[in-house]
Amino acid sequence: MERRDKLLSWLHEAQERSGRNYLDPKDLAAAGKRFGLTGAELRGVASYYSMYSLKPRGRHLIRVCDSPVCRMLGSAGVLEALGGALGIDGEGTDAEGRFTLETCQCLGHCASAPVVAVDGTVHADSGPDGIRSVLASLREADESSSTLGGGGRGD
Amino acid sequence: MATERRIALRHLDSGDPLDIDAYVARGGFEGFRKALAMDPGTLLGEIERSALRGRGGAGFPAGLKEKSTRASCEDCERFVVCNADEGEPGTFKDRIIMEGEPFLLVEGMLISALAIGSSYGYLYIRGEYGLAIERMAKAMETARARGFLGDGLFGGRFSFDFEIRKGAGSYLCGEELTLIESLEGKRGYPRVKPPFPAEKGLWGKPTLVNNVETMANLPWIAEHGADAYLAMGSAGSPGTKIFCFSGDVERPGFAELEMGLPLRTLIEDFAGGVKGGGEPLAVLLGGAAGTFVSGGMLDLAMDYDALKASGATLGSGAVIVMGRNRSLPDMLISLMDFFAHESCGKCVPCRVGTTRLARAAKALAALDGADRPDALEAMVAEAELMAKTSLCPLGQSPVLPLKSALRNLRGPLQG
Ligand SMILES: Cc1cc2nc3c(=O)[nH]c(=O)nc-3n(C[C@H](O)[C@H](O)[C@H](O)COP(=O)(O)O)c2cc1C
Ligand code: SF4
Ligand code: FES
Repeated sequence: MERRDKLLSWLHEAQERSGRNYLDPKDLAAAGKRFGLTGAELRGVASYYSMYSLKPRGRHLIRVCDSPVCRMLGSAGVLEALGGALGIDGEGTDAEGRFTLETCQCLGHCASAPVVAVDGTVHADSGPDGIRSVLASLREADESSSTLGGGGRGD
Repeated sequence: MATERRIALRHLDSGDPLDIDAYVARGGFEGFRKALAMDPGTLLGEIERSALRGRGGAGFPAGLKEKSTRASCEDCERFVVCNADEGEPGTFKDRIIMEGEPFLLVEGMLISALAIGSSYGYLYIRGEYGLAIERMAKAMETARARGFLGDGLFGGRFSFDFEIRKGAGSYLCGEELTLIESLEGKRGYPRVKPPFPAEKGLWGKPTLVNNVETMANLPWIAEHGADAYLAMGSAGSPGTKIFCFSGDVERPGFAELEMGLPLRTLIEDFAGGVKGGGEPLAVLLGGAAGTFVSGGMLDLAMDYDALKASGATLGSGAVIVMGRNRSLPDMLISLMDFFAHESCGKCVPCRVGTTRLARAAKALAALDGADRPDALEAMVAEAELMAKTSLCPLGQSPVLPLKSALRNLRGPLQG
């Protein structure tokens, strides 16, 4: 049995593999065997951490920082603009399962606030103008995953 | 004009961060080489005498912590853990170090291990720091291949290696004992102190937990000695600190500066001044678990003692500047929302308290200016009670910005 300290990294990988940015029950079962943990224990760990999801998310994950610096510099407007462009009201996933829009806490790029991360890559200066470049990269991410058959990892 | 003094950032911006030959050519691993030649007592003595304080926020003397970790048992396994969870809003210095000079952190880990007598360690990096994780992993691999990590280093008896562990999005996991729980693959619920990690840390073994920037200072200290380090900065706060500038400044970013410079110098010379000119409404030092000073307090010296005397703290080194037309109540709302979001909910005073404070901040913002000081006073009282009854230091944090705002920002509060 594998020592448990590798669990978080293993869950990160499983989530990336899923194509839908979530922890598939099959993966959780596999983790249970590997680390000798019950389903309840695993869900306890997975639900504690904000980077994991137990429900399928979009193929691409857009996280808008809502911590104090970004909020002061306009994260609410960024969230609204992205939601409008993607057809997502507030936080959530679009009907096609392409994008999930969610807020998160400080991403450690506060000098570029307000900050948006798309599939883990931080986009600096996402003010009203910068939003356009974020959207362009989203479209690109979506196209690259479509060419991979729709289930790509988009990195 | 003051200039930067780069110690923990001394290898930044010097070409490919993953070129180990260039790192060595610039004097890299010289600190480790010197430390290896000293006996552990001498090394510990030198670090202790340098008066280096932890750069993760609490400012605990680094040498003392190493000494007690070493002393807590004889001939036993001890671990070095580097805290790269960096979740404090407004703080991004550890990311700069890991992305820009990963070998310096490898060297800092090595010196820490020598100091406490450890042969294995872990670098806990927050999961959101993809590039830092990638660079550190590559640097560690290269260091291993080149004989800077592994068994019998430099042909001697000292062996050390370490692994990366990823966090998964939890501010509380930056707290050292919670970090250890998370490292062990569990939920990030805090452990009760004492015992401290120095006695019982990772898997119950004595463990040294230090911040990235703290460790990045060690190579320079080992190479140049405590006296040279003491010659920088101010009397009570020797050395340098990396400050991170964000908010309403012309040039947000970072700078490593000798301690003791006036806050005004930081903002004007290294962050391009307040956006639009003039004095700021307020400056939040140290992030969410930080303290407010007013725009009229810019002559404050940035060292541990001077700040303490003004009811402020240096914290992580975050300098969040609020321009004249910002709203202090809005900032209080986002700070209280942050704590409510990050409270782990394990103990009632904090779970309920952070939610109540978030609500109180919104109520305060809706009041007339004249009524706000009383409302803030009530919030401070509640946060103080919560600090006393909470299980872990997160529950003791909201009182910091609230109390300092009450003390230093009466004007902005009402306006
Ligand atoms: C809620 C909370 C979050 C913390 N987050 C961090 C962090 O992200 N990085 C860090 O180095 N220290 C953090 N700390 C401080 C650590 O508990 C600990 O003091 C530090 O890692 C010790 O290293 P140092 O002595 O080198 O500063 C945090 C503390 C608390 C209470
Ligand atoms: S003080 Fe807050 S964060 Fe700490 S254990 Fe209690 S609920 Fe959790
Ligand atoms: S506050 Fe948004 S990145 Fe730090």
